This record gives sequence, structure tokens and C-alpha cells, in this order.
Amino acid sequence: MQVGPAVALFLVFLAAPLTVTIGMSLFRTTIFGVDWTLTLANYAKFFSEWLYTDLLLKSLRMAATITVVVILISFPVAFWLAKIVRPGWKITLLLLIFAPYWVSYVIRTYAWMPLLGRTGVVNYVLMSLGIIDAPLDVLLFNEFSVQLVMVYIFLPFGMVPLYLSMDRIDDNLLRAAADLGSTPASIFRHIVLPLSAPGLAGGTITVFVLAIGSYVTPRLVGGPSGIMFGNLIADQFGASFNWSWGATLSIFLVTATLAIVALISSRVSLNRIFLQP
Amino acid sequence: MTASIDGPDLEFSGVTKIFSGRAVVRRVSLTVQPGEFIAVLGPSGSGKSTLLKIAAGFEFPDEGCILLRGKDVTTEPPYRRNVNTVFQSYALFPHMSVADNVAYGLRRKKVPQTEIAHKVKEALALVGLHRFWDNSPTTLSGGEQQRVALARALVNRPAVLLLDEPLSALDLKIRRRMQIELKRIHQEVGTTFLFVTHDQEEALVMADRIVVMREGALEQVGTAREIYDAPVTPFVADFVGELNWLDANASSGAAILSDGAQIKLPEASQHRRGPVRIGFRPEKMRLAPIDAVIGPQDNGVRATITSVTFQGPITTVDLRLTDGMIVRCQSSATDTIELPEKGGTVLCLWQIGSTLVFDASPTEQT
Ligand SMILES: Nc1ncnc2c1ncn2[C@@H]1O[C@H](COP(=O)(O)OP(=O)(O)O)[C@@H](O)[C@H]1O
Ligand SMILES: [Mg+2]
Repeated sequence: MQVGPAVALFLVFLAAPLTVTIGMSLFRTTIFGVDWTLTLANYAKFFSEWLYTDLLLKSLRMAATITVVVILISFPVAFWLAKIVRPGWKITLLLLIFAPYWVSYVIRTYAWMPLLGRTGVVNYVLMSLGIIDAPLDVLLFNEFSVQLVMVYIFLPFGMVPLYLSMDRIDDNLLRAAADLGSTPASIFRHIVLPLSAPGLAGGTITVFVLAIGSYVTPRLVGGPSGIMFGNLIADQFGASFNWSWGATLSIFLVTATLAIVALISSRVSLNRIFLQP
Repeated sequence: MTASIDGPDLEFSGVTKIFSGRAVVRRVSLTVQPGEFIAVLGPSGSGKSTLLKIAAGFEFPDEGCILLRGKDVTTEPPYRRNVNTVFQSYALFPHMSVADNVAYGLRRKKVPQTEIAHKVKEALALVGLHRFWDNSPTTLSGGEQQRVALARALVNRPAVLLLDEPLSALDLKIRRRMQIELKRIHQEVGTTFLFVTHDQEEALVMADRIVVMREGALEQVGTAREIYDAPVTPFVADFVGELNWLDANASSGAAILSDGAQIKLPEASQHRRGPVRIGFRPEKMRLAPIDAVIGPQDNGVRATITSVTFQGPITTVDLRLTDGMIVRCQSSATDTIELPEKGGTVLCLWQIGSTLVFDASPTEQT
């Protein structure tokens, strides 16, 4: 059976947890424990207050911003690495760029605090240069800092798929396009962009999914205004100990995420993303 | 359809290209006339592709200049040069249909849509592929892809079409057919072709003129007949066709082999003295009975047959001269003599006029 392993993986890692989550969302947690009568009360609660939809929309917006910025940075760097750097230098440069990512995610997040804080490096430099008089508070513990740090952390997930799909573009295709009258801008538009679409879609989906589900980075550098939907969910399974409400919130997050992924993959077929021709 | 202006289509003038301290193309000067079919022939690594890339604008020369129909284009980028390239790897755009591939150059030049459709149809008909209009190039065979590449380049009516070993990825039978096809297309459109190949037979069959390259420099430029019959260096003689080599010592109009046998030298080489290398083509040689008379126009040496290989249209006979040197005779004329058995002795004859004489300097030995 060729599909056996795939089916097993699907059951263990996707179907089972999803079923459990849906199941949990259909009960209510009270101060006396779980009330075992089936109810849609949790779903009603979600729509009863704007607070929850607002937070979900804000998180989607933040994840979208992070994704767009990651892709905008990744595109030129990936192109440079794949098509301009001499082959002998590629590995060295790739290693140099990705070396920081061998360090734990949490440590890399913490590393931003001494940079962005009131007494941090950025404020120190700006003040010594006389550009500002008083330290800036807007650098840390808000939406901006969450997005900045997550762009940094998720950069490789956007860059690698783009690099891989650009690396497989035959150099002669770019030469042929120039030969046929394409300026560099036109080569980008007509050859590079369409041929790296699978990597673009793959990178976009990966970064978006990772960003929308984040809760560690917002917790560490987000402050009260930088909190995301993931934090709300994590709280239900932690401090609040309201698993059925947490499960309900998870289902809204999963649904929103799947909708976005479906939208992207309707533009580029999944076949091309994962089985690049 | 060739240019109405006079003068050459393409000119290389003292072009040198250096890669990491090594001159890969050395002071190449070459003039290509309108409508010519020129083959650039040389072993792999001799700088043929680099020369073509310099003409296309993918590489820029360190010295010298490129003129395209009289205009200096040395520093122009590829998209501002009226030349088009056919790549060995075809380089068709995999995300576009055959028709979109062919239309690519015209679209960049903002040619009106109806005109594009007409020209693309015409170009695909020229290469016999009008049925494949909507196909993806990835579904075509190698030969068909190469035709699309040809149509995609020719549809732009370039001043010069550059072809970098366009047939070498094809198998022998298709390659033969494409050689004839390419020749027909060249005659039909009249565009100037600069065609790179490492296959001497291909160059001889196809080109009006052949440019032999060696280590970045032009070794000889001439028609197929000139290159074959009058190679100016042992390198050219050896690279284009097969050759028998004999070491000899020249004095007063003849060269003496180590066993005392005499080779008469052609008019132009009569002045030579001292060590020389004598060359003659296997197919210009005849075998005769050992007691035959050597005519006044012929050279003749005695040799022992070491093997006879019948190959259908021709027969190859390997022989050993009395001083030990090995020569080969290729002949369709099996009726000149009844061939003796292996081990028999015969007279090898060839015309004095087809005897090639070169210096015996060790650097020229191949
Ligand atoms: N971009 C380059 N950088 C360095 N060396 C190169 C480059 N392109 C070609 N060469 C070298 O130049 C020589 C000639 O190459 P090429 O023009 O491709 O020869 P040919 O087409 O006759 O086989 C080769 O030794 C090759 O290694
Ligand atoms: Mg080459």
C-alpha cells in the first residue's frame, strides 16, 4: 500500500487532534469542571463580543504584514544568491546568512530586547547622534516589535523556498529572454516571477501559518498591545484552564488559516508548490 | 531578405576575453558577410562559446570591439543588439506555449497583435511545427524543441543568428536530418548564420566558411575545401579529418624516411630542409602490387598489411612501413588490386599534390 504511511500520518497528526479539538469545543467548562452536555454555547460566546473577532482580525493583519515583509526581503536576496553569486561562494554565503538560526528561537527573540529597549542599543545610538532627545518607547512591547522580531525569525522560511525555485531556473532562460529583447525588469516580470511562483506560494503559506499561530514572540516582546490570538488560546490551556473555550478558539484560527491557504493555492496549484517540475 | 546596406553583418576586431588571468579568446578578428553560413570549429574549451557570447552581449571583451552592420555594439546589452541566439539546451520558456515562446521577442518590441499572430504562424511553418502551436514545449522531443528555438530566434529577423552547438544534444539520425533542415532554412531566409560546433563533419557539411579555433585563437579561416585540402597547421590537418603522419628529413625537393625511402615534396615545399612531418589523408591513398611502377605524379612507399576491415561502402586497411611507422588507407576502390592477405606486402601510392608538409617542431606535435 503506497498510501499507507500517508494515511497513518494524516490520522495521527491531523485527523485525531482535530477531532478531539472539535469534540472539546462542544462542551462547556464551568468552575465545577466539565459539563458533559453537548452545546454550541462556546461558538455563541465567540460572536457575542467583538473582542474575539477583533483580536482574530488583528492577528491575521499582523501575520499578513509579516508575510509580505518577509517575501519582499527574501525576493532580492534569494535572486542574488541563486543567480548572481558565483557558484563557489553560494554555500559559504548561505551558511553565513543562516548561522544565527542555529540558535534557539526563544534566545533569538530575547536578543532583540537589549537592542530595542529604553536603554537599548538603538536608543543609545540615536541619542548619541543627537537625532532624538529622549529614548523612544515605541520600539518595544507593542505590535511593531512583534512584527519586527517575527520578520527576522521567519525570514528563512520565506527565503529558502524562493531560493530553491530560483536556483532551478536555467541561466540560459534569462539569457534567452535578454537575447529576445527583454530588459532586466521585463526578465523579472516574464520569466523569474512566473517560474518562482511555486517557491513564492510555498514561502508565503509557510510564513503566514507560522506567524498566525505564534504566541512565544508576542508574549516576550509584545506587551499588552502586541498580544495575538495565539496568546488567547494558550491562556485557556494554561492559566485559565478552560480547555473547551481554548478548543473553540483554535477552531476559529484553523478555519481562518485554511481559508487563506486555500486562497493562495487556488492561484498556484499545490502540485507545483510541493512537486516542482 | 539580407540587409540592403553594404558591408559585413558582423565584425570581430582584435577581440580578447580574459577569465581569471587566462585569455580564453585571443585577438580574434573575423568579418562575416551578409547571408554567410560560418561554422566556428574547435575542440571543447577552445573558446567558441565565449566568442558567441561576446557577439550576443552575454560577455564583454577585455580588448577589441564588435561591429554589427557597421555599428559598434561592444558595450551594448543583449536586449539592444539585433542578434538572436539558439542555445544547445534549447532554453525554451517552460511556462509558455510554443506560440508564446515564438512570440516573445515580437511582444517585447510591441509589434501589433495581429502581425505577431501572422509572423508566429509563418515562423512555425518554416520549421514545420504549425501543428504544435498550443503545446507546452516540455511535451516536445529534442528535435522539435530545437526547431521551436530556431523559430523563436528567426521570427525577429536578426542581423545575425548565433547557434551554439544547436544539434549536439540530438541523436545521430535526427542530427543528420536537422543539418539538412538547417541548411534549407538558411537558404530560405537568407539570414547570416554563425554556427558553433566541435564536430568537424558537421562543419564541413554545412558551412560556407569554416573558422578553426584553438586555445582561443583563430587557427585558420577558409572554405571547407581549403581547410581540408590545405590545412595551414598540423593541428587543423589533424582536427579536420584523419591524417597519416610520417617523420622525415627534407633535402633538395624530397623527404627521406629513416629507411631511406623517398617522398617527393609538392612545389610549394621544395625549399624545405631538415626535419619535417609529412601528412596525407587515408582516403587519398591507393594500394598497388609491390612491383607496380610509381608514376611521376605519385609518391609511393612499401608497407605490410596488418589488418583489413570491410565497412560496407569503404574498406580500411592498416599498414606498417618498413621503418615501423603505421599508416591507414581508406578506399572504396577495392578493385585496384586483389588485396593480398594480412601480412602481404603492397605499394602505398598517393599524389605528390596531396602531400602535406609541416615543420617538425615538437610544440606542433599533436
Ligand atoms: N564565466 C567563465 N569564468 C571562467 N572561465 C570560463 C567562463 N566561461 C568559460 N570559461 C573557460 O573558458 C574556456 C573556453 O570556454 P568555452 O568558450 O565555453 O569553450 P568551448 O565553447 O569552445 O567549449 C574554458 O576553459 C572555460 O572553462
Ligand atoms: Mg561551448
